[in-house]
Amino acid sequence: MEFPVVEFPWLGSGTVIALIAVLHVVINHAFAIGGSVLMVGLEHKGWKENNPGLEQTARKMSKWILIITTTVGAMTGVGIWFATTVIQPYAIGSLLRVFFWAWFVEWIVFVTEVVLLLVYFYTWDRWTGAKKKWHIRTGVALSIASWLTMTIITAVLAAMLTPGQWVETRSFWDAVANPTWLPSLMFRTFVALALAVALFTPIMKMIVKDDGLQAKILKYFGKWMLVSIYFMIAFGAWYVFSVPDKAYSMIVWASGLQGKEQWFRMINLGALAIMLVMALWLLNRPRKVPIVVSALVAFVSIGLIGEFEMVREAIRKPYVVYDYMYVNGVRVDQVEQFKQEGFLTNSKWLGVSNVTEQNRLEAGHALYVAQCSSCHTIDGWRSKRAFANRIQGWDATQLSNYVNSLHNARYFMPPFAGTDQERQALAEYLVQAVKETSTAQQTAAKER
Amino acid sequence: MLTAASSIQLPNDLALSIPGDIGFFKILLVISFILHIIFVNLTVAGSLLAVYNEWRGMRTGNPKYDHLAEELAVQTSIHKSIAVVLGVAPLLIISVIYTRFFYVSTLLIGKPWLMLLVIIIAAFLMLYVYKFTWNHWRNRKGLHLTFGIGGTVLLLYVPLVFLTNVSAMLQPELWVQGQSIFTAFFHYPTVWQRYLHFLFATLAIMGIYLIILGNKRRKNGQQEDGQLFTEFGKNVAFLFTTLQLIAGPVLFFSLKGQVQQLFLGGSLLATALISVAVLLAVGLIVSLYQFKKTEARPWLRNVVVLFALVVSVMGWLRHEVRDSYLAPYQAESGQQTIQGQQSAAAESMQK
Ligand code: HEC
Repeated sequence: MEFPVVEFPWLGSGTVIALIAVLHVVINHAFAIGGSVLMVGLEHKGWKENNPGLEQTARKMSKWILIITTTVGAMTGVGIWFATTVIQPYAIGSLLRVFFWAWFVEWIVFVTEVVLLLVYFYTWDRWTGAKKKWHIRTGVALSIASWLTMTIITAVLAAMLTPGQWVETRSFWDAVANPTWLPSLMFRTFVALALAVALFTPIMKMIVKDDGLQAKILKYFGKWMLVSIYFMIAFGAWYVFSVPDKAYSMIVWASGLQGKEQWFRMINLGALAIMLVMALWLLNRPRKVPIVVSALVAFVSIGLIGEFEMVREAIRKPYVVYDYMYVNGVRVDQVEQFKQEGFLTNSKWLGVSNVTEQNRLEAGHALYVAQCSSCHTIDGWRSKRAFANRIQGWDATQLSNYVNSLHNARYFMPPFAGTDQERQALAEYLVQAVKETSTAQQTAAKER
Repeated sequence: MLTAASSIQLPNDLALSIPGDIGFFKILLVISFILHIIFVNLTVAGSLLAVYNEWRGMRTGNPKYDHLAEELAVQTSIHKSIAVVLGVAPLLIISVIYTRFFYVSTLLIGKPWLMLLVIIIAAFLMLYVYKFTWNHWRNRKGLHLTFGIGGTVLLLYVPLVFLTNVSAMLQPELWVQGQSIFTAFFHYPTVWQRYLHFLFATLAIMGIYLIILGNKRRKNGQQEDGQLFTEFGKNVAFLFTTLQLIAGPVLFFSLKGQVQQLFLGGSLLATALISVAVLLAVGLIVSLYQFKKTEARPWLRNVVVLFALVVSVMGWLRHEVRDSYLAPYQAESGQQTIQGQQSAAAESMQK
């Protein structure tokens, strides 16, 4: 392999990306995309009905949308890119090349989006009366631009799971028009709207003091929510049925509820039901919706989108780009070469270039860092991924045999890409490292 | 674990080809970087000068400084959003065409690189507090200023990490694994010189921006504001543009000997570029001086035109420095790629 590896011994690499990504998706979907639509919608309604209260509310929303999207929103977006560069350099490097021109267009749309948002926010006082039309149009353009940024990025995300024809043709258009792009885009569009309503409803209940005005706003929100939930379910189903079979079969496992299918179904259907109930409530008795319920729905919908992103990432395993590259950056077409010639001889930055009697543990460590640490830790917080927990009591031969059939034993792991000698060294290192952490823990416990 | 790169561990390129003409990508890189850096300059200097003027206002009790500071804070909050999005294109292009260099230099400072996200978010949020509480906290100036200073200090840290990254990518022979970021600041020989050059440029650009803004305000009939901006802007612009006569050479003579040689006659293009850049810069300083004295419109026009030229030429120059550093490694890589393709072809024939 070619690049230095950056390890996150406690958090684990996956968690670092997940934290940034989920935060970004929540903000981007709820504030930038769904939020803009609600905001301009309210402004338009206020203008048509000659209701300055609605306009004031839209204006308040615009301030928070501006603050949040241009700080946490924008920086976590760049952040996903930073984090993947540090953690998945081979994957992001390759994706940038495949999708270069899409990303370049994305950049233009981004810049447009930010400029429109700034114009929108700073012209509330100037573009009134006859010019009001222009203010609203700017808002509409802003919503479209926000949605377009998602359109492009979704193509990349979808291609990672279902690169489709690209794997053979290497053609840009095959990568863009991949099998899950459209379903996932449509799904996300309505997720964004539902999420925006879910997050803005408790805020409206707090900041809009006038009861009549609040009712009007919430009723309006209710309409959006109801429509969005229906479409979300429909497009979600389409999306789920277009992922690869192997990935489909991993969904329940990926949610962490393996063997508890009942729970999986109940939790997800329950969450949708609560959202549906609130939508109907907002529509019919907007002022009666308790703030506690609206806050609960906000949490539930953040939970749902978080779950969705985690599951989407997990079911792609062992690949980072399906059928092309594994999560640890090893390409499918490199495995045979590494098995024969050795992984370490073909790697830079690991400090070891072959296994000798003297350096077995060091070589094993290097192999662990390069091939396993993208999903595992020695002793991190996620106990299912921590070797200290998973292979306690295993001996080196046992582990080495297991590693030999890694991908057969568990479909979600890539095959080990190295010689038999390297495999043995890896196993010895892991057994040793696990022993050391458990002795360290015991001594620590005794001292207490 | 500190492993010095006794043999240089330069990666092979990724398996996928670069999707376009590299020359064209380089042009895009230079242009998009110039756009990005101008807004970065306006952001950093904007917050720095806002804080400075608020403090000046507090000390002298003259409300005009406070007013200037507030205007600067508002401008900064706009510029910073544009700076971030404009940064996407140059980052994209540099990642794609210099992958082998830029990815290693980034990964060598992986965690501090990621920390930038937290730092920038914190800085931006503090600066929003700073801007939106200007009236609210009229009687709590100390608290208010603290937010401004906090945001500014964080913003001043960010370029240091970026400059370490772009310095490191140019010198694979110096790559070292396992270094802390503070050691890295001093490990690569051009980091602080670049930083000084950046800092002066930042203030100079803000000065020129204020001159232009002041001029616009005057045209709109806001005489007082206009006067205030222009007055402050022209002093800042003149001072820091002149100081570049020191910072520029300091940076230049910190470059690697072979690269210096190229710019001192070794390469016609490089030598011509740097000569033109220096001449234009001197022209800009003279124009700024004249404008400072006379405030005459023709001098303002000269300032604007020369400024645009200086920035463009400097942006290009910077790119030539990069390619001069990388040239020996690039020549090597051409062969590696060909070899790589051959072995891949041989392999696929065997199958
Ligand atoms: C693509 C991510 C990924 C990579 C890379 C990966 N693993 Fe795993 N591994 C997993 C997951 C996920 C689990 C199971 C967690 C669970 O049970 O929920 C696992 C479980 C294991 C287990 C426990 C198996 C059991 O049945 O109890 C071992 C042993 C293991 N991995 C070894 C390795 C080794 C050695 C490497 C490096 C050569 C490696 N893994 C690389 C994802 C990965």
